[in-house]
Amino acid sequence: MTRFLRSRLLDLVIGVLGVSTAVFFLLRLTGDPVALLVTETATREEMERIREAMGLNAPLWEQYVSFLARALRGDFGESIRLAKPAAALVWDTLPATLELTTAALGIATLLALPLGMLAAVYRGTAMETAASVLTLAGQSMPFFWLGILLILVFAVELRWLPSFGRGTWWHLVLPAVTLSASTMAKTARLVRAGMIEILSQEYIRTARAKGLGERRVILEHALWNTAIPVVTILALDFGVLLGGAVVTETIFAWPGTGRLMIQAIQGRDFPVVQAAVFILAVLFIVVNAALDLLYVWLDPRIRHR
Amino acid sequence: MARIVCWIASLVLALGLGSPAAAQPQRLTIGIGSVPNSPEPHRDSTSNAMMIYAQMYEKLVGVDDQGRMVPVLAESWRLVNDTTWELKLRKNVAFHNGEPFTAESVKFSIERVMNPATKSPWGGRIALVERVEIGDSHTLRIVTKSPFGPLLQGLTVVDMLPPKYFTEKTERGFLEAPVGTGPFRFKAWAKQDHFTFTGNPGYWGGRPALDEVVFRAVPEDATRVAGVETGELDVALLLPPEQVARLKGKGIDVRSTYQGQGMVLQIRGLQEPLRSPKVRQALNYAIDKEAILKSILLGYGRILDGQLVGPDAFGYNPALKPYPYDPKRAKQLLAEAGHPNGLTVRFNGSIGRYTKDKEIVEFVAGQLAEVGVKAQLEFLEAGVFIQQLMGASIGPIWVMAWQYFPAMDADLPLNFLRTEGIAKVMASPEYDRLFAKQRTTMDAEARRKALQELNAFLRNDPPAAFLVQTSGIYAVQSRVQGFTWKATYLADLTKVRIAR
Repeated sequence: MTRFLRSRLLDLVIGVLGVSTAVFFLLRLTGDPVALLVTETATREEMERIREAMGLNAPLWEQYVSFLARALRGDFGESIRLAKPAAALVWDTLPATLELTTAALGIATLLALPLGMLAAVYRGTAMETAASVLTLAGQSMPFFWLGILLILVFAVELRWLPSFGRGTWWHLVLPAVTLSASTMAKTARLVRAGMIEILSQEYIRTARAKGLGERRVILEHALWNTAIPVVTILALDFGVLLGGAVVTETIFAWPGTGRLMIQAIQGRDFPVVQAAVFILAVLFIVVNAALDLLYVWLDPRIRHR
Repeated sequence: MARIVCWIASLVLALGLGSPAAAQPQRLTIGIGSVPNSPEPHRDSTSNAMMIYAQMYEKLVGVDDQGRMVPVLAESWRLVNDTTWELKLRKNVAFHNGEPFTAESVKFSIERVMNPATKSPWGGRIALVERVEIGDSHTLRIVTKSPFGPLLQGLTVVDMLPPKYFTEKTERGFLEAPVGTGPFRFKAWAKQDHFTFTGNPGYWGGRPALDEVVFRAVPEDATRVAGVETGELDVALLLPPEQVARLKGKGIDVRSTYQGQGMVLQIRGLQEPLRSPKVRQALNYAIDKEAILKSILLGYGRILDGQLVGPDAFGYNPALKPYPYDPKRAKQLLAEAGHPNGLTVRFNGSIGRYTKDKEIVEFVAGQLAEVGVKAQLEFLEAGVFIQQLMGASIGPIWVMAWQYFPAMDADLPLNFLRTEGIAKVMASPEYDRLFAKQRTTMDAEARRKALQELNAFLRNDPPAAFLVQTSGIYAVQSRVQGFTWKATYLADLTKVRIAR
């Protein structure tokens, strides 16, 4: 167990270091925050004055070392555009994004399991065709397109749900469904494939032979054994969801970290982008490590390997 | 269980039977692409921020529909000598916390904008101010280092803050409970989400009819359109032209306003093959402005009359006409300039920076190809676009829209074209001389003439292919009365009311 934790911790350090280094240098390659801070009629002297005031005149390596040193203490500096610590801005918006991504993850799991199962059990029937059409659509529709479509149908035409913003649970429905679509589709296909393989296994035949009802065979014996690949894909897709949140949050005017990042990137607000990427990377790696622990619980054999 | 039932019942009662007799509050919700990142008015120069700040903060002067200076917190002004303005302030004006608005407030606010530590993007607009001298509580003098014609225009972006309250609270404290002198008081804001104001009963211009105004940040155009269709928004600003027909079909009132913004194909004439004025004139003849206006902007906007600003700007030259669409003439001019086989040039565009910019850029590139100008089209992300613009590495041709609001003065875009202008568009001693004359002319009418002269100069030696003055399209629910959006990008909400 300690070995497991130690290796996960190493993953965390390497992953976060790599990501923040890449972000630090890429950002500085592509834009100058001062150019974005002044109006288009500014003079060179004005820009120089502001650059000096922001400490952007120091050599790059010096800025990098001080960034790393402070980041380790959780200090990402002050936002260039807002008189607030960058990390605080990220923490403020993170609950909205986590609410959205966990809801999407939940919806994806709840829909994918029955869908994949039905498609596997009722092979060759209309049920399977319907399920495969649904999963194909879910996987191929971009967040952007699906989001606007859902707004037009459920908010504008049917008036069942609000079209944007965060507030009540109703506000969560459309963005979460939008964000869940591709993960749902991917997971459903995986469940189906897993189920088909498992249903042909000998222990399933044994279960049936000893007279167990089909429902118990599928729910207790077969479904449980598709859990490991499903958990794996959900864990990996958590990253996809965080990325998708950027687009989804923009469409639905959802005040989360995704939109904070877009705004910070457009304004080349270095401290905020760095803080957001750092915190999200840590989150992603921790979630994956946690799911690795879940494997052990799902499949005790892993512990003995 | 019984307790829960009881609790739910009382909740239902409270919600349902609350106060049916009380008048419903007058509440206006405006959907806008973004809300400012902070209630601090001196640091955010984006158009949306400017419009939202204007509900709670005020300036000394403003501009009316014809581009004339009008009093706001300054009641009157006069020129004492070429470097000194004397302003008389409106009396009996108070900030929302009760602190009186006086000459001290003006001195504090102007000095704060000019202080480099504030990092205010507006500093450049009043950079020539040397000092602010207080006469009495409501009289002050602004002294400039040298004669500076557009000083009042510069003051149209400087919001007045309360010095005593600001100093006591420090900046951080002020931002938690900001106060201005405007018709609405700050109530709440949430980053990227909303800005909420309540009506200021003690407003010097009279109590506004609205009890509450909410600006909701809805970045996606299609979502703003949906919001106005469902009634979640009372007003939706800056809608794409292609959505107008759909909204009108649903019985929603869709309007538009010309914006103080001229869209052009900017041309850096400092380097070959664009050095010759003939080449730059050719690019003007090559582009069918009518087609851009009709088929891409669906009629929203108007063709620029061979200058960077529209007729609503101070300094607009009514004698100038647009370059006609004449591809033959364009080819001939290119040949005369030594490019009979055309030329190749890098062309930068943006996506989503201006309404329909991508479509316009692609159309323009096609038109240039027809006269033999091969444009190497390269779209730049917003941050890269600005960086290359400010670093003078953009282009040499690129699409750009020049904002001359809220001052509505041609000085703003023309300033950019000086030899020491940041994007290095041109280098003409003659132009610089004319520009300096404009800047140092204190008589308004004489300065207008000087600006017109500058515009005429640029019509013949064009630093751009002049395209269109843009329009802002917006939708308003029929229950909203008295809402208009102006060319200055501002909206006066003091007369707005919601009909029942």
